Amino acid sequence: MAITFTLNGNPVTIDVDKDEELLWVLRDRLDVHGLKYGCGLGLCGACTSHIDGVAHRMCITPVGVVAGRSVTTIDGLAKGGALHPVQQAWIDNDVAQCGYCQAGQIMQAVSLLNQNPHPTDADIDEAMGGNLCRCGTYFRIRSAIKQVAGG
Amino acid sequence: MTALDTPIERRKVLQGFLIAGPTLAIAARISFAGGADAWPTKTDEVPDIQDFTDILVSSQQANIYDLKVEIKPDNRVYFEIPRTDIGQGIVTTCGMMMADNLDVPFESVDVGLSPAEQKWGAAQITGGSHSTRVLWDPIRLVGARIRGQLVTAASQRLGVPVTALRTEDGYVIATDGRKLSYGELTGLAATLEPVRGAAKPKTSAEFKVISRPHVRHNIRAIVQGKQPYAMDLFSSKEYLPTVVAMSATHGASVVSIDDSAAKAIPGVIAVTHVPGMPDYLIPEVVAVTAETFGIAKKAKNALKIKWSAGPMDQLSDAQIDDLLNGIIDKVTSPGEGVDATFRWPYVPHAPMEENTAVANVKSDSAELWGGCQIPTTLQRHLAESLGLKLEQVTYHVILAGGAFGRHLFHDQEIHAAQVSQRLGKPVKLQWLREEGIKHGRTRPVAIHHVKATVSNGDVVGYEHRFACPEMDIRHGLGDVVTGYVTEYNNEGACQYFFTHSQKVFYKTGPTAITLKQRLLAKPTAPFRVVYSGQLGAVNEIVIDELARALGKDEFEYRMSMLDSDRHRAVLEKAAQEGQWGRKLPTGVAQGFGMHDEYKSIVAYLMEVDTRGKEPRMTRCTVAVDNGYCVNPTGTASSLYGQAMDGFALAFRAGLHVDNGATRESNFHDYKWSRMFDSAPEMSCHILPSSNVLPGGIGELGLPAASGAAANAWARATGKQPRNFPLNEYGA
Repeated sequence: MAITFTLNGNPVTIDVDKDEELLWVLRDRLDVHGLKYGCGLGLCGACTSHIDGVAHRMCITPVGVVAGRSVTTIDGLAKGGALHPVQQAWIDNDVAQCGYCQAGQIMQAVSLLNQNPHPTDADIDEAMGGNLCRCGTYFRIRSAIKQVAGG
Repeated sequence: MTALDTPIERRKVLQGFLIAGPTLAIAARISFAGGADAWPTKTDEVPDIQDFTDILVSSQQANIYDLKVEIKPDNRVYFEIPRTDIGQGIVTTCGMMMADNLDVPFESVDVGLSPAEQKWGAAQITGGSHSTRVLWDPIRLVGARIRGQLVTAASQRLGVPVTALRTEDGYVIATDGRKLSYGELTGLAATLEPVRGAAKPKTSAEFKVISRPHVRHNIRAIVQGKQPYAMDLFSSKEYLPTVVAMSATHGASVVSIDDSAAKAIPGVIAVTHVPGMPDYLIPEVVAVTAETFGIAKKAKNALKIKWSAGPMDQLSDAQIDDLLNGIIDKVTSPGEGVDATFRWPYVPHAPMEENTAVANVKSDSAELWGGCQIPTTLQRHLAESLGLKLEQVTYHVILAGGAFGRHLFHDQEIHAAQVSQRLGKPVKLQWLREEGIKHGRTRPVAIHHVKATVSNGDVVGYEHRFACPEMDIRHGLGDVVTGYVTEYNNEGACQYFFTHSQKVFYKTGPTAITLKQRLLAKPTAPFRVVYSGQLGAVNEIVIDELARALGKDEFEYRMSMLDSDRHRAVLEKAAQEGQWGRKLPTGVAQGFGMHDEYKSIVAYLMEVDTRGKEPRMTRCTVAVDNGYCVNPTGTASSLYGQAMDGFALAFRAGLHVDNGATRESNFHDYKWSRMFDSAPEMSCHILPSSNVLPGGIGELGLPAASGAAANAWARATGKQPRNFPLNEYGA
């Protein structure tokens, strides 16, 4: 069935089984590659993107859910060539190592800061606890979030 | 002149190469209780004379200088290194080293990754934390030579002697103020030999980039989702998504496949039975290719595959432990002291990017992309597996999403190539996480028996007996010789590696560290820091227990037991910055861990809060002497990450084996460190350079961090860490 939604600011219509997970619709059918596969069960957060500004795990979200809604992936976070403040904070703190999980980390952090502009350490622990980083960049993720929150 | 600035030809190059054989196993020096006065407090062990870093560095000397540098008309510099970057930051580090030695801005240097090329011999390997060290002199001397050529060319163009010229920021500048960009001079310079005096290698006093903090070269791409990993290189419409199904139990093979239900799913393109390369422990798999990975995964789950019985179907954890207890060397020392046994479980590498590879195989060529750590071995195996000539196989090395040792092997590339060849179409192949956890290679389960014999308050002997399933190191060092040796004598090669990496850096008197292995079907591989991950952490636990047994402070005792000023300076820094002995609530405690390997020394002081449901890391202080530190930012990042590794391995991470199959399947039951494990307070203190060559960092911290976590837990709870992970077995 044809499903229409907004993807990174642009309308898209795709004729696809409504139960197909957004991760694969975006990556394999629409060639949007910023979001990553890590677990397929919503356990690691590597695919985290926004639906109407709120973080969701795209690997367990059926595409039918976003009909008429707005989806933003890391690919669409920077607006008009200007980095989002969270992206800039990631650069300032040299957060990434291998970088594979960082799209999901950033989208989760943006969602957290949208809802809670001044998170405590406990808030950060809770909001970011579902996003795994095998390189162990958590200390700098925390610092980058605090930089944005304090700015 | 310091060691750092000494030309390579004047430095002693240790001649060492992998010649494997059980006879090379170190003879156990049996210790027994007696008068301490008669005993040496510290005996030289093999790594004190020649360690594995020396072997890696010396084995590459014939090839590692073959760096080709391109300077483009716009003054951008491009050169390739025979390495992959899996997050350790070698691209950034090498860019920094080239910038200073060529005298160009760091921002103008692009560092590429060499494709698989047999010309590199043993020099195309990412592993063993030696890359910065082995590339230090090549980049330095190649940079100086090219500057010499550029200055010689400028001398001709400007009609002035080379003594009237200097270089800066990508320009050759004459004393009269005229200047030419490197890009303008490249054409002429390439045809010239540098004249005497045109350029000298830079000394450390002249560095502007090296030793200053630099952010990762690709951080801007990463934060925008623009850093491509293997699965991002091509459209899935052209390179077909493919997943693999693997055996029910380890080592089993396919009896029959019923793919009717799988093929009935819309969007499924093919089901392919591929043989793997059993001789290299690359498993037989059934591959499913579909329009999307999501569909391929559904179809994989719909396959009905009958698997044979596997060679370890009778084995569960208890039986594996029995086997290891049957082979481990016996502790022989009589007398009093610390006498303890330890166990670590199997752990998979589980990089965030599961095994991936892209392959386009045609009748007369194969082209692949991936982040393999030893591409030369892979190229040979691909040619063998596909029936192609070596020169028909192209393997592009790209950045990968972590590795931790996993990509020393190349299962996924072989699978991708075999599927592409059979389908006659390009594929992108990705292991599902379930395959990675259940069937991926692992740090093998291990048991230890340690006896530290004490007489009159002194340690007069130290036995560390270690046993594990045989570790697969048949990747060799990338060259044909060691590949051949390890293929036919993996156990001997393991003994050789073990002997050249294991030591105790405390004054433990006559010391014996021995390895016994038994081959099992569950796949293994070196895991970040290899055997030291278990042995180093256990040594740290034993040192703490010796201190407490002797009624001494853990810090003071370590200081008295350390053998060099360099070690003591590192420990003292961690203690001072981390405020050793500061008052903490009951149930919260500090713990030390140290490690010495890769020509570097690290100490962690970790604080662990054991009052909640699970232990939490509340503070972590790291001190390190990694020789000449090229990028302090990269050094700190790596050591913070290894704190998280050490914490996970001490408390949470581990697999179980039930009747020849791995129980865990994904990140809900294979538990790794999370944000809430990461201390809000962390600091890394890099000791002032002792002006020696760069030491390794990418694996160094793990044993120390595991030890520090376990020691903090022991001091907080009064329990003895013996069986890991402690959250499961430490009650």
